[in-house]
Formats: sequence, C-alpha cells, structure tokens
Amino acid sequence: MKRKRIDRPSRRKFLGASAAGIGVAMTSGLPSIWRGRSQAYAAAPAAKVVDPELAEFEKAGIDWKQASGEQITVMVIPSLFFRVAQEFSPQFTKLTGVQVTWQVIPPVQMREKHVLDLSTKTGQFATVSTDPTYYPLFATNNWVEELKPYLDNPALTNKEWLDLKDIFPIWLEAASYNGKLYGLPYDGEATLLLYRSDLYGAKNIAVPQTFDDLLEAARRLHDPANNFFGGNFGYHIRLINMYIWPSIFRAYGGEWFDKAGNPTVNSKQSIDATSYYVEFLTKYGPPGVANWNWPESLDAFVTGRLAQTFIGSATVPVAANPAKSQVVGKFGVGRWPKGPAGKRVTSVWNWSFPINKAISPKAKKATWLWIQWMASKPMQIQTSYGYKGKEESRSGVNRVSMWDDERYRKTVAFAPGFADTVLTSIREDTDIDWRPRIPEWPELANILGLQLHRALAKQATPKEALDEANVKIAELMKR
Amino acid sequence: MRSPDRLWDRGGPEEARPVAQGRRSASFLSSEGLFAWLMISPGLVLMVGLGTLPLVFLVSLSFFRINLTNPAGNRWTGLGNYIRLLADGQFWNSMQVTAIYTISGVALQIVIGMALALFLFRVFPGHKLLRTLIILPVILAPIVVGMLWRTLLLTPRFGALDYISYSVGLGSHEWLTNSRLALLSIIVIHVWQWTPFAFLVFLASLHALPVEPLEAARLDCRSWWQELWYVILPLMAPAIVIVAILRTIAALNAFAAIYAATEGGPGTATQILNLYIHNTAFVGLSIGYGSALGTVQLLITVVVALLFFRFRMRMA
Amino acid sequence: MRPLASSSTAASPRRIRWQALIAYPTLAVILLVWTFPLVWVLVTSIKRRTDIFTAPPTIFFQPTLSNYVFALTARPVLANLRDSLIIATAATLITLAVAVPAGYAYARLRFPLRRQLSFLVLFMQMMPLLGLIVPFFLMLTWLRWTDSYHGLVLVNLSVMVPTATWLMITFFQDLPPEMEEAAAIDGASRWQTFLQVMVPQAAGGAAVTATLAFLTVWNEFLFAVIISGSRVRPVTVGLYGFLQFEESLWGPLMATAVMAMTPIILVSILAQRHLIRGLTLGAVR
Repeated sequence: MKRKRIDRPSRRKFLGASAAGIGVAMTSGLPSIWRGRSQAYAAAPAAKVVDPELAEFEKAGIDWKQASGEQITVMVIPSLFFRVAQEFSPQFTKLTGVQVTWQVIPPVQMREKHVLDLSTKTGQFATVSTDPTYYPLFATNNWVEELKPYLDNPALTNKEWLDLKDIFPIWLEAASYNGKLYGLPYDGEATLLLYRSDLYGAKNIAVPQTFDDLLEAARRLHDPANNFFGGNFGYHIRLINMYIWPSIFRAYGGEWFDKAGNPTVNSKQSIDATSYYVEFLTKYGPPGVANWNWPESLDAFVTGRLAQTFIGSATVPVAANPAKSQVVGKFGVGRWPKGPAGKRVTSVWNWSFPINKAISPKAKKATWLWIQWMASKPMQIQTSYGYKGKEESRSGVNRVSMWDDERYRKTVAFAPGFADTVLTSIREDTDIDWRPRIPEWPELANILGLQLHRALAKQATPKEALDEANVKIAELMKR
Repeated sequence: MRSPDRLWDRGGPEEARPVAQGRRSASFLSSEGLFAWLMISPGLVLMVGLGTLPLVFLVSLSFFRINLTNPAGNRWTGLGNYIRLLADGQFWNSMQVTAIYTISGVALQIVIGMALALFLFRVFPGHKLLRTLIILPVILAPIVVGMLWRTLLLTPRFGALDYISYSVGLGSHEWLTNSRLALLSIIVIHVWQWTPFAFLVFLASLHALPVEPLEAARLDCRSWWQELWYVILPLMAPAIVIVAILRTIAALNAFAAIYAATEGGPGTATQILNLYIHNTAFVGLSIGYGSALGTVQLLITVVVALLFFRFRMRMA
Repeated sequence: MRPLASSSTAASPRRIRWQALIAYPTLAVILLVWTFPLVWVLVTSIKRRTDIFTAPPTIFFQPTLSNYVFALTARPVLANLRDSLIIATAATLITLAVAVPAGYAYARLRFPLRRQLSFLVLFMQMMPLLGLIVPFFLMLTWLRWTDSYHGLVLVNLSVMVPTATWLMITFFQDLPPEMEEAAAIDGASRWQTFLQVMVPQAAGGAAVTATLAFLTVWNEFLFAVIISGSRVRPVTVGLYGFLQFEESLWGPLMATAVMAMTPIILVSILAQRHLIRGLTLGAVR
C-alpha cells in the first residue's frame, strides 16, 4: 500500500517544534484561566513626539527603550512612598516598554523572600527594596551587581542628568560595600525625637540636648496614674530594638570591634548605654514596652499617652493627620540628644534597589533603567510635591537639593522645623558605623537583639547579657 | 488474626474483611490488591512527591554547614550540626518550652473541652446558638489571633483584657513581657482558640454514646463522679485519643500565633522549637544548622506519634 | 437511639433549682470567655482610628464602616478573598478525592505493604512544616509555579493529604462491616461497594475532613506569604499587609479578619448536620 509520506526531516522538525512549543507553553505560561489578574500593560508604540509626561526623562538623552519587551518583578514593602511610586508605573512602561510587576510584602517576610531568592539564584525578583545593612551580605555572596559599569556606560546612564552627587552621600555610602556601589536609594528617613511640645511648654522643659536631659524630661512628665508615660525609646520587640539601641550605643562611645577585629559590645561604654536604656524604659516607659513594635509606639503617642518617643521621620506625617491623631499641633520633632561621648547618632536608613545577578543581561538593563527612574529627580518630584493623587505626601526624598526647596518644604511641614531637623540629622548625626558593615550582620543582630531583650526583660543584667552576646559574636566571626 | 492488624484495630470487632470477593490473597495481582493500590496511588504520589522528597532534602541539608553570611565556609560537616545542637543552650530551652506548651496545652484542651461538653450536654433553649458561638475562635486565622491578643487585648493599660483584669482587682500585668507570664499567656491563647474544637468532638461523641451502658451505670453507681470516671470516659476514650493526637501535632507545628504575639520573647521565654528553627534559618541565615533542628523536630513528632499508637493499642 | 440528655434531666425540683443557679452564670462565663476576643475584633473593626490603641481602651465610641470600605476599595481585599476561596476549595476537593478512597483502602482492604504504607501516612502527618519552605520554594520556582493558584494548592496539599487520609482511615474503621458484607453477598463489585455503600456512610467523616481541610488552608499564613506574590494573594497575606511601614491599620485589618471569617461560618452552618455526625470520633460502636 502506498502511503503519502511527509518528507522525513521536515516531519521530525515539525514534531520537534511542536513538542518544544508545548513544552514552552506548559512551563512558561499557564492557561490564563488560572491567572488571578490579567497583565494589562501594553507596550507603547514608538513615538516621535515627546510625551509631556516623559519629557523630563527624555532629557537624559539615553535610549530608554533599549530593554523594551522585558518583564521584571520588583518587591517592595507596604508603605506610602512605594504606593505612590507604583501609581507611576504605567509611566515607566510607556517610557521604556518594560513591564513591571510589583509585589508588596511586609518587611520581615520581604527580607526572607529576598534572601531566599538570591541565595537559591532563582532570579524571581529583579530588584527588591533593600535594608542598607544587608549590602555587605549581598556583596560578599556575589548576589548583586556592581553599579559602576552601569553608571559609566553612556548608553545606559547620563551621569549629569542622574546627578548622584545630589543624593544624600551617607545613603549612597550605606548602599555600598568596600567602596563599591550596589544600590540606588529611593526613599529614606532619619530617626527623630518626637515630643509633646505643649506639655514641654507647660512644664517649662527645653528640648533635651543630652541623654540626662531626656531622662529628666521623662521623669517630670511621667504620670502613670493617668495612663500617661514619660517616654519610650522607640521599639523593642526582639530584633527591632536594633533600630534604636545602636544610636545609644554609639552615642556613648561604643565600638563594635577593636583594632584586632574582636567584638567589643560588652565594653564599659556599651554597658553604660544599655543600663541607661533599661533604666529609662523600666522607669518611664509604658508597662510591657518590651513587646512593642513601632506602630504601638506611634499609636500611644498619637492617642496622647506618651510624652516622647523616638521614631522614624516617615511616621511623623501620621501624627500630623487629624483623622489619625489626637495630638495634631501639639508635638515637635528634635534631633537625637548627645551622648556622654558628645555625639548625636541617628539611624542610617533608606530603601534602595540593587540589581539581581541571577537574571538575564537584558533584564538587568531593564532593572537598571527602573532603578534610575526611581532615583531620578523628576521621579522624586512627581511623587512628592508634584503629586496630586489621593495618598499623603512623601517625606523622605533622596535629593538634598529638594530638601532646601521651598516647594518641597511646604509639603513636609508636619511640625515646626521638621525639614531642617531631618536634614541636619542626616547631614550631621549619621554615623556609617551605626551598625557594623559586615556580612554577618543579620546573625549579629539576632544575637545582640536577643540579649538586649533579655536585659530589658530583667532576665539578665546588662553586663551579663552583653558579655554573653560578645562571646557569641566572637564565635560567629571566627566561623 | 492478632498481631499485624493490631495497630489499626481499636479493640472492637475484628476489622471487616470483605467476604466472598474471590481469592483473599493479598498479593498484588489479586483483584483486591490491585483495586486497593489504585485507590491509594494518587495519595501516595502526592505524599511522596510533596512530602517525602522535601523531607529527604531537609535531612540531607542538615549534614552541611551552610551559612549565607559566610559563603566561603560552606562545607560538609557530617554530624557536626547535631553535636553543636546538643551543646546549644537555646536548643534545650526551646525543647523545654515546647514540652510545657504542648503538654499543658493539649491537656487543658482535653480537660476543659470535656468539661464543657458534659456541662452543655443538656438540651436547653439556645444551646444550638451557644454551640455556634463557641466554635468561632477556631475559625479566626491564627496570625490574627496572635496580633489581636498581643496588641489589643494584653497590652498593659491599652488592652481590653488587661483593663478588665485591672477593673476586677486582678491588677494590670505584663502579660507577654514577664518571662513566666509570657509562657502562660501563649498557652492560654492557644487553649482559648482550640478548646472549642475538642469541645465539639466530645459533645458529638457524647450524643452518640449508646444509652444502655449509661443507664446501667446510673443504676449501679453512687455518684456522678463514678459514672463519669468508670463509664463515660472509657467510652469516650477513642475520641479523646484522636483529639490528643491531632492537637499535639498542631501544637508542635504552631507558629503564626506565637510569632505574632511575642516573636519568641521575652528573650527566649516563649521560643518553641518551631520558632527557633525559623529564627536560625531565616533570620540568622544558618540553613544547615536550621535543617538539623528541623530534623530533630521531625524525630520528636515521630516519637510522639509512636507513643500515641502504642497507647491506643494498649487500650484496646 | 434516645438522646441521652433527656434521661439526665429527670430530677427533683430542688435539684433543678440548684442546677439552674449554677448553670446559667457558668454558661454566661463560658460564653464570655470564648466570645469576648471575637467581639473585640468586631468592635475594633468599626472603630475610628483614633479610638483604637488607647489607654484605657475605648468602650464608648462612634462606630464607622470606613474600615470595611477602605479594605474593600483602597486595598484588594475582595480579590484576596477570591484567591483564598479558589485555593481552599481546590485544595479541599483534591484532598477529599484522594483521601476518601485511600482511607477506605487502608482501613478495609488487604494489599501488600499495607502496614508499611499506613505508617507512612501517619509519618507524613508529622512533617515539620518549616523545613519544607526551602525545598518548596526551590521546586516551585523551578516549575515557575510561584505566585500561582496551583503552586499554593500544591503546597497546601502536602500538609492536608496525610492528615485527611489518616482521618478517613479512622472514620472508615468505625463503620460496621455488615453493610459491606451484605453488598458483597449481593454481588456488588468492589468499586460499587465503595461508592454506593461505604462513601454514604462515611459522609459525616468526609464532611469533617473537608471542613478541617478548608479551614486549615484558608487560614494558612507561612507558606502563603512565601509562595504567593502579586497575582495570587490569599487573604491571610492581604491581612498582614495592613501592618504598613508608617503605621498599622488595625481597623481595616480587623474588618478584613471579620470578612474572612464569614465564608467559613456559612459553610459550617450549611454542613452542620453532616459535621455533627462526623465528629462522633470513635464513640459510635
């Protein structure tokens, strides 16, 4: 029987192609019936006429569309400044042709997912909002790209337009390790003293300049019988105490390591700092404060139960919002008081974006464009004083020049002198060694945070707790 | 037949063996064997693929030293992690906390659940509504339970329950930040949420108890206590054991509520093994050591399970 | 079977009065203990923000529905609920489809390796869930199944299938053998026996297993937060997202918690009869 035979090679090719096609379809895409949300970003057609919205960005003169067609996923924390940025995401897609998917995950879990993704090299997230103290870890493990090649490449970056010098130097330093830059900051804050200016005025208390002043102010305002507490040092539950304690530690002159590299967290200065911390909270803090996280501290302040506390500047807008606060117009902000060593030490905090090494080169380009876009001055402007949406205004832009700009200052007038206090704090009170810049930081924080918590909970004296922490940290560094 | 089936036989009439089904051999080729294997294979595939393989991976990771903060130091370490574990004070602390939490938690759930069931065993107006209301805690997500109790109920001065305690004269206390109280508090939270489950099971079982032995008991026994101890409880034993097993597994795997409530604090006072593993592997980034701890947790649960089944056997 | 309750209420008038004196207050206490925290959830969900974390706690306040409105409009809570519904339903149905036949087989049939495999079922229930996160993350990322419905369903199945199977084994063991034997004598095939005789009897047990599975998957947090992302987001993750960087939105969080409880309450009310029958674990002989 004669059979019509398809030419052999082409049949094989056909079968191979269809198998490949099915394989690709099965592994890369899933029937859209399973998709919860359809991705509705369409790539913009190439336009000769410059869109007014994109005009500022086109001034850079680089080819924004060089990574067109790419799809990247970015992960950020649930916060005001990222929500506002996300509203502008369609603009980025219009500008570059790159589709961006945003994942919003709370900080602790976000960090876990990020580390999981980086360490398993699965390349799920092109970039993630990063805690500055994690850069040593990322860099040591070679998980993120050095940004210098991207910055020096004229096809990718117009250095003058991007103007890195305009970004807070300490924030850039925080996103670097061993002199190499790994991430660009988008938003940041300084930790400030938040105090009830009306009560200070009533009792003739001046804004505390030293830790002793602070203690005294707390003593005079402490009124537990009326559910009013003298002060809080911020937040203490388990690890979050490492956001506040290092400021006290450094202000007392504490050093993380000695010249030989041995840890010295149990030095006399450290013990003094910790004793002060424990004494302050035990005497004048709200009861059960060891379990508080920053929202509790903020809420206690805005419901009028706390005389003063230390808190990140990003949360101050809440206190100034009549819908959220009972102390509108009654509070002030100040810098950290001076410690015995004469230093004022605020936090070095910002959210910056690195580039994941485990993604494709084109995706890395797309990510670089996105990071640039986020950190650029036009973006900072359109998300702060240029913003006309329904969210509240940002208070942590990364551009020094904007902090001096009256238009920005008007939008951050939450308390008298807010902008200046933040600016001065970032410029003068920041200490790059506020936390040690080592890859072992997460575990070190774990050890130290636990011991401090034990000291606060009176399970150990400050000396015992710090001695134990020091021993464990020494072991950690040896490994 | 005695021994081989004993593990699954709870002492009642011998397990039914389908009669007149053709050859009764248990070989694979017999139609019964084939049928059975068809019935169990989907489950088997899922269990092996989704459970056993990841577990093998976990155990194998435990023989390495893998610390993300020091990539150059990653290497094979054989039993090194286990030796380190034996000398680790925090590990033994977490074992102690886990033991207290699990044993008292399960015991309280059973005792209170049974007491509630016996008490509410009467038919009275509104009993159905009561039953529905009491089940509600089980439906609330554990993560929300933890957050609710920590911030809104137990915060001294700010929390509702603390305020009630203060108002009735029991005083305001540091429920979650005092080392001793904290452990008690998380046990209370756990028992609060899950006793309704035990209560439901026991209530339903009570309703289903055959009447005859109980009426005979009423005639024989002098007091309700005797009636309870010698007749009702033995009849309820199977239900009690099943609840105990389910709740013990759940207690050993508890995470969300305690994490939300104390994160293991103050210090390590409420750090059950599960939380310690999470902290080691995901915060401290010691994957190898964390896997070793996880393997120990696995061994513990297996031992506990074996103990339960031996107990069930002896009861039969 | 006469309900046992009726026989125990036959008593002298003095006994009834004494019982009532103790019974009703105790009832009130029980009710209070178990419902108060939930009442507080409800109360918090209708409070304005400035009434929430106060010392002393605010008891009299002006209620508002703004938290619910916020959760539903400014945040994708509705989409979260839908995602949770899809994942929980799929996981429950698959779990039942797998566990019911398997339970019957382990309980009633004879086949090679039965004992060893029964041990495996028991063993797999004991899995330390935390230890599975890294392998699951790796596996699902490789399959590109993170942030997807099937990825989350799969992860939840790993937890539920062994427990559900074990529960069904228990339920099937409880059933009297007579009907099965009768069916065999009547000449029914194994499959018919299973489907038409055993399954209806075990309906109560299956209802319990299904409810437990649904509830567990619905409230699952740890795996959900690691595996889900932007496309698929169960309500437990959505809830947690109210703990924002600048502030915690307790009002909308509690409102979402209340909304998350409603589907399950409805389901358990509807399935009540089956559930009660099924919960007689071991008591029926």
